[in-house]
Parts: sequence; structure tokens; C-alpha cells
Amino acid sequence: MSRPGNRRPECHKIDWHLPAISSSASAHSMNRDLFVLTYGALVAQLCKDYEKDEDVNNYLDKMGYGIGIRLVEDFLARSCVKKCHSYSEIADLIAQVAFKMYLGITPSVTRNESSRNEFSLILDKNPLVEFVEELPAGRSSLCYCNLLCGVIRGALEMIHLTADVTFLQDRLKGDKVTEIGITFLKKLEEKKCRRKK
Amino acid sequence: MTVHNLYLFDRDGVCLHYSEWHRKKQAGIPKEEEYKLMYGMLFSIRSFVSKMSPVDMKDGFLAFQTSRYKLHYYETPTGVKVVMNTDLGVGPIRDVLHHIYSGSYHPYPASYACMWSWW
Repeated sequence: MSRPGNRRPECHKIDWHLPAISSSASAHSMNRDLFVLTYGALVAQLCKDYEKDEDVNNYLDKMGYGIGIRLVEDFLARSCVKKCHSYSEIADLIAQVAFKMYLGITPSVTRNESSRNEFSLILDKNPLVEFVEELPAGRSSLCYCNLLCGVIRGALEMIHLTADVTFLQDRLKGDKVTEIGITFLKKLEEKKCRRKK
Repeated sequence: MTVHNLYLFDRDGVCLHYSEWHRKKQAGIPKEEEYKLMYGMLFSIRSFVSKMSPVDMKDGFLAFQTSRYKLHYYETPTGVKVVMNTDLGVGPIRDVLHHIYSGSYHPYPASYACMWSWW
């Protein structure tokens, strides 16, 4: 699944600006290769744990959802974005600000002409698959980066929007580009208080 | 310029944090009741303001003032609410409330994003 890394000695650091919640956890950088390889190891372990590709994809989505519902707070705090008034503004924000902030890439946004709530993010470059040449044998339906779909879905849910986020095209499966489709569904009503059990 | 107190609410109405610096008069009810009252009022006033606005709404409810104090309000798109009561000499402080949110609250869910969400 992965080729051995003959990497150049230079390190690509990502400065995470993690909070100084303890004296040893002040802002530190993470090596990008470490992040990408850790993700690969995670997917590899999930492939060992689950036989069906669908189960791996669902689990990645679930993990991504858990990350997304929390990561959105970090995004809002750091990006100081104003309130969006349309789905296309939100799609642009995800592509041009969020992806740029967390993955260092800027996917392009296309909109489905026939429907005002369907958008696609076209990824030219995907850092998560840097060390992946092709999917392993017998794993042709695996959505390697399905975590990203979960993250987007979770983040949108926290701002009271439900969406269907899936991979429409994937370079790892032989398509020309990697395309993430976002279909905005209904807006969630704000509840006054959670009922205490 | 005087800051009286500060409330921090999450999206479900739970009071995450309360700080008091210069409060000369208490509400006379238990703290839990006070938090519920504050949250309930904010929820109602936000909904009232958006319904009754004679022009297109931009930021929504920002602040109210009485003859003695001013209540400043800031809400993130995720529903986290920061409320600060100050004296009347304080102008708009949305950026300050945002700073409180980004400096004090947001680091915690962000750092837990990668730890707990995988289980």
C-alpha cells in the first residue's frame, strides 16, 4: 500500500498553535510526514480490524465526525470569520480557509447548476495520500480519506447545518481528480436547553 | 471602566464558567437558577430581536443597557455564548468577548478533537 519513504532531510513542519494547557504542552510543531504516516497507519490498522471496506469507511467517517464537532471551535476562534449567508459562502470558506488552515491546500469549489445546495471540492493535491501509490488488493471500495468527510460533516452540524459529504471521485481509485461532494440538507433547529435526565 | 461579571454558556445552555469581580448586588436566587434565567433570557431576546427587526439582521442581539449597567453578548456560530456585565462607560467589546472565547474556551475542545474523538 505504501512505498518506503526516501525522504529528503528537510522537515516540513506544521505549527499547530496548540494551547499551553500544561507546561509541557505549549505550542509545538508537528512534522508533516509524521502526521501523514500516522494517518496511513490508522487506516492500515482499520483494514486489519474490519473485513469490509464499508465498515472501514464508516468508522473513518465516525472518527472524522468526532474530530469535526470539536475542530470547528478551533477554526472559528482562529479564523474570525463572519456569519455566512449562503451555502456557496460556506463551501468557499471550507475550501479556501479551513482546508488551507489545516492541510495547507486550497481545493477549488464547483457548484451543481441544477441544485443550489450541492457543491464539490476538487482536490488537486491531497497531503494525506502522499505516501500512497494505490489501494491494497481487495480494498477497491476503500475511501482512504473518508475521515475528511466526517470532519466536514461534524463541523457543519455544529453550526446547525446537516450535510451529506462523500467522495465522488478518488485518484486512488483511478479517477482523474479527487472530488468531495457536499450536499446541504435541512437546517437544524436550535434547542433552548438540553433536557436534563 | 468596571467589569462586574462574566458568564460562558455552551450550545445546550449549560453554564461552563462564571466569574465575578465587582458585583455589589446578588440576584437572590441560587446560582443554578441564575444561570438558567440568564440563558433563558438570552435565548428569548435573540429570537425576539430577529423576529421584530424592522431591517435585515446582521449580527443580531449585541448588548442591552440599563441606567446602571450594560450587558454585552457574543455568540459563536456553534452556539457558545459569552456574556459580560460592565458599567456604562464601556463601548462595544465583541472583539474582547471573541478573544475570551478563542483564548480561554476554544483550546479545550480543539485539543480534545484528536484525543477523544477516536474512541
